[in-house]
Amino acid sequence: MPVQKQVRMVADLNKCLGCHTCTMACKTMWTDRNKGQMHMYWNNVETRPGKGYPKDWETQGGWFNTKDKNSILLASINEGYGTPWEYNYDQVLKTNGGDASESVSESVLTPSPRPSGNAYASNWDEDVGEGTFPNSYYFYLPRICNHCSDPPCVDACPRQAVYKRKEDGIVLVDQKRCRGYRYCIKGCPYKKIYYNPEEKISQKCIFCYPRIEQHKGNLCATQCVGRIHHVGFADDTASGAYKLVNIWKVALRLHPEFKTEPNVFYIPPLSPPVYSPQLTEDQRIPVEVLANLFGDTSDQTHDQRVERIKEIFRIIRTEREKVAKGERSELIDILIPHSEADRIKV
Amino acid sequence: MHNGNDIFFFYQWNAATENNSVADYPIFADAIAMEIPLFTEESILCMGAMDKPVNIIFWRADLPVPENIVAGGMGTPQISPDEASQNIRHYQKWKDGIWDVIITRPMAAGSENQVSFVRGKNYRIAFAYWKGGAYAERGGHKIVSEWQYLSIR
Ligand code: SF4
Ligand code: SF4
Repeated sequence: MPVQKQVRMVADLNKCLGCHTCTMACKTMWTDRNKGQMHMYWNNVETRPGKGYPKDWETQGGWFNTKDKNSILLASINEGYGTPWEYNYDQVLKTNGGDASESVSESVLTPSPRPSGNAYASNWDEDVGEGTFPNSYYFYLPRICNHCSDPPCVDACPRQAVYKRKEDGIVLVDQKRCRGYRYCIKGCPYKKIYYNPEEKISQKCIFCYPRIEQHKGNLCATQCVGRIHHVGFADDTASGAYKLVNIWKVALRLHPEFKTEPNVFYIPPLSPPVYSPQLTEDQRIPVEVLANLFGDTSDQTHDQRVERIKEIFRIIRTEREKVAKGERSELIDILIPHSEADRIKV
Repeated sequence: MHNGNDIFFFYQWNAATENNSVADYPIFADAIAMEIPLFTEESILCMGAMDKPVNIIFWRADLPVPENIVAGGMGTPQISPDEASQNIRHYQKWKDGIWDVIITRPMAAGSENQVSFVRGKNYRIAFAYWKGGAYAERGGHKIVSEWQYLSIR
């Protein structure tokens, strides 16, 4: 699918705080219009290891590993995504502009509707992670649609309602053409297309294309408190995103074995040393765990991925040490951007 | 059946469950459709062709009213945008494993996006059926008839 340009984003997982500001920026901007959008988080932040959002999306499958569209699961909102609930903030926190005479009527925050059945939510297992004290570990994984170079969601739609824009490689669902068949949801192995049961059509991350057209960054990137994102076009050699992926080669794809050539890249997270019974050389987040998630290409073996991640860690450590000694490092300069223009070049 | 002004199509079929909602990811509704060449005598069964478009009346159990659709080839069906052609009404009831659906429309076309039903004329007509619920049929995943004849007396 030839495109003239392709937007890319690199997320440095060493810097993600798990604050969900990106999620909320996206939600406020795009998925706050009707009831059918409430369960959707075009950008979500999930704790890893964990079930993710939608629940167990990695095992649901997609176009790459099954030819029979009908055998791929479509999760329900309540059990897969989470029925949104409200809290009784009014009763518990009401101060009416500091007026203490307006006393609170409840002391406990309760969700309504209460989660029922096999309920779930986008951050249901937040901060749970794995391992035992003092070596428990987790990290955050912010996810949007990967605006893949070989997008199975596009192939899955019999109506050509899902398409990839030539000018920037952004993948969109034509809201007028979509008939709510949900084949694209089955096709996408990242489960990054959502179904709006009110409008009876599918909806997804639009990489804030109206902003990209004005050379502004997508909101998850511009609003990020940790400033973890680098956004640029794949062939723009001057952009930080290009340098991290192509020159420094410290960014990897999430599940490249899905064969979609995702355009969101991640710098895998380093972690504190394992303690047993003294501090050791090993990192708390096992490299094997990271290699289950990240790699360069679809044909790489697990061992090759492990080696690549170790190599990336060596590069980052070496460059960090340089800076600690007062020397300059281009890599660290990119990773610690001073202005939005340093990170976002569209 | 018609009364000179309106034409009525009555459908009845067995359906173990009433699938009348599309309110969640895995939920699909039962649907039927009839297809008639828009201005040619015949056309291609699969959604017609560019020069031989077809007119489709589409009923799905969750829709407030059936839709008037035009298509000019695979992947092209579209709800006709003009209000005048969205003049289809219906009655639906599911009971004891049986769907009863009556679809009615003025015989005269509301616009050029619709076939006019004229007394004494013969039409080609084809039918499609989608089983919702666990079968999750939608789009091309359906049962279709061959071209049949519809004679309006
Ligand atoms: S992540 Fe999914 S929805 Fe986005 S382009 Fe890739 S396959 Fe399509
Ligand atoms: S806004 Fe940035 S730091 Fe916060 S959760 Fe999102 S990606 Fe992580």
